[in-house]
Amino acid sequence: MIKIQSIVFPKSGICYVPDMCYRLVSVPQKEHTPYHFDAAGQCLIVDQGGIVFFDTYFNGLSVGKWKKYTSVTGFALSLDILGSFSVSLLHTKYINGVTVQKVLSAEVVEAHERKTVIFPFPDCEAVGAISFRVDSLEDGGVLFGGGYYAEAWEQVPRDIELALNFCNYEREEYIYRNMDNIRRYILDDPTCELREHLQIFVADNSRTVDPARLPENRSHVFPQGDFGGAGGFTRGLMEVLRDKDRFGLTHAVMLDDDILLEPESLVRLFAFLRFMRPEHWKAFVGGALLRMDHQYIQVCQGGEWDQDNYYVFHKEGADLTRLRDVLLNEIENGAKINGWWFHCIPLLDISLDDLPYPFFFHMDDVEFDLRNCRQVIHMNGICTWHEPFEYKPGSHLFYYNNRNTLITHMLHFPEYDAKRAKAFLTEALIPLVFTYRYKEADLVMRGIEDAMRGPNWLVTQDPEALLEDVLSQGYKKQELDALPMRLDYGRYMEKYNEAVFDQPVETKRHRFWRRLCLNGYLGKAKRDVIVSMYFLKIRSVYRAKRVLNYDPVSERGFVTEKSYKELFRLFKRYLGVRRLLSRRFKKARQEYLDAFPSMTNSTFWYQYLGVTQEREGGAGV
Amino acid sequence: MSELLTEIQQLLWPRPGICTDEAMYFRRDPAKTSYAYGKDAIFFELNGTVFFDTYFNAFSVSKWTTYAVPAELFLKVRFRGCFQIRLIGYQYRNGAVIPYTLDVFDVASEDDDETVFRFVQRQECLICSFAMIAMRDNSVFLGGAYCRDADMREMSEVGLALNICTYHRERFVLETLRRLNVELMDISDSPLRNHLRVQITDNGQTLISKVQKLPWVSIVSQNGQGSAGGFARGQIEIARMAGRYGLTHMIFMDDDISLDPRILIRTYWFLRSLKKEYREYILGGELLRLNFPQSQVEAGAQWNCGMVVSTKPNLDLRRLDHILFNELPERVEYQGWWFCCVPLYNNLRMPLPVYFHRDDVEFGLRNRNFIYLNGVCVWHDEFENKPNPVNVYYDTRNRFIVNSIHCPEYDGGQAARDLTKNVVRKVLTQRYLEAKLMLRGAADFCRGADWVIANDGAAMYRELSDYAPKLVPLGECGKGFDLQDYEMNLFHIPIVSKKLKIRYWLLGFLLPARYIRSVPMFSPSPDSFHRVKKTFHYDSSSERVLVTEKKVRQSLIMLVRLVTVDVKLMKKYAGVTMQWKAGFDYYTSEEFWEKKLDLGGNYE
Repeated sequence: MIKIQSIVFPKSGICYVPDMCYRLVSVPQKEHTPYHFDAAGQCLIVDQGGIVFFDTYFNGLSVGKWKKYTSVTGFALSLDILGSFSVSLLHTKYINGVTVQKVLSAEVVEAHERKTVIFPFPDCEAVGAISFRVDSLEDGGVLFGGGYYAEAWEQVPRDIELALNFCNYEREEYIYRNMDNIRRYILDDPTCELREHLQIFVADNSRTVDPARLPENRSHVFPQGDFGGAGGFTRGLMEVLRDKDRFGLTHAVMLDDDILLEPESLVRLFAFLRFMRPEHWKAFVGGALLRMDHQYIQVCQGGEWDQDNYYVFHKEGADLTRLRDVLLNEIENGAKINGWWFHCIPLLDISLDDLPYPFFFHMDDVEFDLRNCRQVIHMNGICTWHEPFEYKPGSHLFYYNNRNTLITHMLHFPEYDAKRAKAFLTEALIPLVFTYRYKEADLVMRGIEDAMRGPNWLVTQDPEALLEDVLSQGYKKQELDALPMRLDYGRYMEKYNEAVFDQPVETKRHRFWRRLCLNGYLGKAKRDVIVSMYFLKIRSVYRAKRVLNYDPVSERGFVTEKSYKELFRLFKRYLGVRRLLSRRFKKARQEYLDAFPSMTNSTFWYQYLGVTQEREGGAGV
Repeated sequence: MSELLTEIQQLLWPRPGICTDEAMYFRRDPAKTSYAYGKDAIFFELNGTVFFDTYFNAFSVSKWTTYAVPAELFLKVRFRGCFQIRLIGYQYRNGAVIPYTLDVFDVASEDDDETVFRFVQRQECLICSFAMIAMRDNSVFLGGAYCRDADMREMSEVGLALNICTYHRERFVLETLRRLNVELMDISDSPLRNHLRVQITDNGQTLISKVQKLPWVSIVSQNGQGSAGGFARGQIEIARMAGRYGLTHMIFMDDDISLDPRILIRTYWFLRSLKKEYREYILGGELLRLNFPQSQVEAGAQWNCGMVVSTKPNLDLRRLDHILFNELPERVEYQGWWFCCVPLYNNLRMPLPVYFHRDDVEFGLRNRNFIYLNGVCVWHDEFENKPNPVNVYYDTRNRFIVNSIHCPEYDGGQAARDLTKNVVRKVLTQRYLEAKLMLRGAADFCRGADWVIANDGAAMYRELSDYAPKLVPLGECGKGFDLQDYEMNLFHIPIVSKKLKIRYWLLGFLLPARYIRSVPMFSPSPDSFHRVKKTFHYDSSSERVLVTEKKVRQSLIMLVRLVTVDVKLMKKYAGVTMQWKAGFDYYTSEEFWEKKLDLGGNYE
């Protein structure tokens, strides 16, 4: 038997949401709760009558995916227990809008001293998840943990060596925290098979990572200048590919610097890859993105890129404490891409000629997946927590997002033409112009103009200088005291609810008049409003004179003001950019396509990053 | 005394893998009693109470009184500790449950003990059962049974044969055989040990290598005969071995069901106890949902010329009122072959050779006497989880065939109306290929009985399958599938009133299409297709999708073709009916089937 998944209990410092690990059935007839979780000892004490379900995000086993993608044919559960329990093995699926749970087998076990008991799973449907429930038959029963095991398999498990590829820019504290967790739960655990099959690569864009704080004998740090996420991840990937034979590396796991990682995710990934059938060896494995603040809320589980709808997140907003949402996650609906917050790339087909595109920042992961990824597999329990996107608003994003999106469309969608690009431009500008974010509208147009300059311009720019310039052109968040408007939190919340929850719903008549008068441009502006810097709706700014854009994370903001002068200036520039698109689009696309191979190989990247092909850095520990 | 009694209905415990819904077996007070899967016992604290008036553990006293030879009824209980036992009868009148306490006993024992109680019979009770109240802590209920003291000389000998026709459903069939072995055939004192045989017809020719050799199982492999051919082959084999093994009843049984073998013991004792006048009745198994084991799909059904009406549908068998309602007699016209226990009397005819679907309907319509008992059931995957576009061909054609034989009031005009309704519905839901298959089914019916008999077979099924629309995995269906939209359309709430429905559909069809919808594969509502350009028909069980688009030209062609077929149906229905009626005796004879299955003269 080979362990493929451990039972996860809430861990302080990583994720302490019990409902993601187990569900306790309330026992109203008991005077006191029959459950007690010992966080320090990582064990669950259950008194007589207590029933615990483990059909949760972390503790269900995705049997559908295991049967589909791996050669494992038999599964078993191992439990480390003390006391008398009835253990029922469950199969759960979500079908036709309802959750269906079936008890596959049940057994009463009595452990007068701590012991490990194995429960083989009967054969079941290859959909949904298998899990278990325990009913305590006496007071003081203790569940110390356990795991799921592969009991039978058709092919010999293959050798897997994982390379974690972090890209850092002044987020070394996050990296140290993740390393401490990896050390504690993987490297220091003699029973963990992954501990001998893990290498850590850090591309350090800020030159601030202390190699001594990373695990010994397996960490490789590469300090370099700020080449953005693309430069960092590419450097890491290049080094991984160069060390592929030396360490026998088979997969690179792209990891953001500002994430919180559950080490068990890596253990599961490792086990899954070991048993994967050969026909899926080229499949990528994506980690779900969960919110750092509400740790049980899923931002997405992969997604797809669409030239009209852009990044379409899959399973967005799932509440992972709910069984329904956990089971919905098991349904595969064709994810094609996954962000580099956690993305496992097989090195089988990736060479030093298949490197990311030098976008500096954002869209590098999308472009890479559109080019190299045919299939992304996701699995419950393989995930990472990340600060929500709304916590990091910035004007510079408008420049990079729009520029890079346009370039990606030119590279990968032959049917994308100047007409669509113009529509894209208009769509990007409308919300900004109508919310008086004139500087950001300027940045959008600058992004499009720069995209039309072609690849030569892109590679000849000093990325750090360009970033500085773009930052200087955008809005700067200021302390609230320095702003001409006072923050009224009640009024802010009104607009926040309007933007996020569409509450109160706008009447059709109001919408008609609002649109007729161009959201108040054709009328007198008479009021000040306070809106969220990230979540903003055009209607919130209707007939406003001044707008306080507030960022609750940094507790800072900036004020924008209605200006006809700016409006007309932007309109003139807009017409110019449209003309530019008409004139340059075809030519620019051809240039990008022609230059593409030479911009995604290692020769280019060494030159771009200013490093020699001889190994620099990496000597960390 | 207990030695003279026959245990006709063992009290059942929840079984993991089959059904673990406690409320189907007993209802207990969780504060003062405890039960754990895997331990066939209930533990009581003082005043802990458990009722056994449940689907599996109540006794259908009215049915037994009607159909079985007269005898006294007893309850046998095994226990330890101190209990008050109440024998209770239940009546059901106008939706109300009326309980009668028939008797009350106090029992006590320090060790495991067994006690028997006699039921005082009350005519008006539909079911009877009992409740146990613990009179002290640490009392334990260990099991029991309902018993009768019928004269064994009045009881007939019974031998059961399961007639299973399978096609690539190894997982289910192997599990059924395993359970039968563990729960019945490997138990030395099992009443069925020498009275049960299993006859499997393997249409997929894949099972035989996977089944371990068991002396009570026979498997034959054949190819290309459909379910009708499979069941017919099983019937022939069973008839041949009936004398040798003393077989008296054959149970038509689907391959994809979940069976609790202990139900067969009940069946056995009930059949043995039948009065002479009921010995040719069919005992039907109630159909429960595999995914919701407490929910009944039907207990028999009425054919109604193809507008099938299920009997006792959607009952929640955890509820006492539903259990009682389930006991009420109702007109049944046929019983599906998931569990259909047919006595092997002399003139029992073979199934009608219609390849696939409706063979069970036709068989039921000629033998319209059915008995149903609470607790005699099987679990079967929901029909909505098995969408197969080819079915529409056979459903359409075979419906007309069955009607032409058994429904004299059905004529060509009615057939044309029904076809029109179904085809238009398919067109409105963008299922053009299925509409085509329907039209082909109707057209093939018009070709007459001889043509159907000569051409029906695996080749035609393969051809239809190639023609039928193909489902693709969800991940490969392209952009646009929306799970939320699917769920909204799954629990469809009508958007417009019935009156305006046709106008709404027509408008939706004529106005330019612009939306993308995700709908269920099984019977989506045409309401969901209002102005829809592209549709994802999602089959949740296989996680596959059929992608369709609105095609106005195709729709118009289909409607023109519909008119042609309708005219043909009206013209030819009466003539084809005559053909089927004339050939019926031959088509349902053993001679015909032996020839069709190519069993040859030297077949033994």
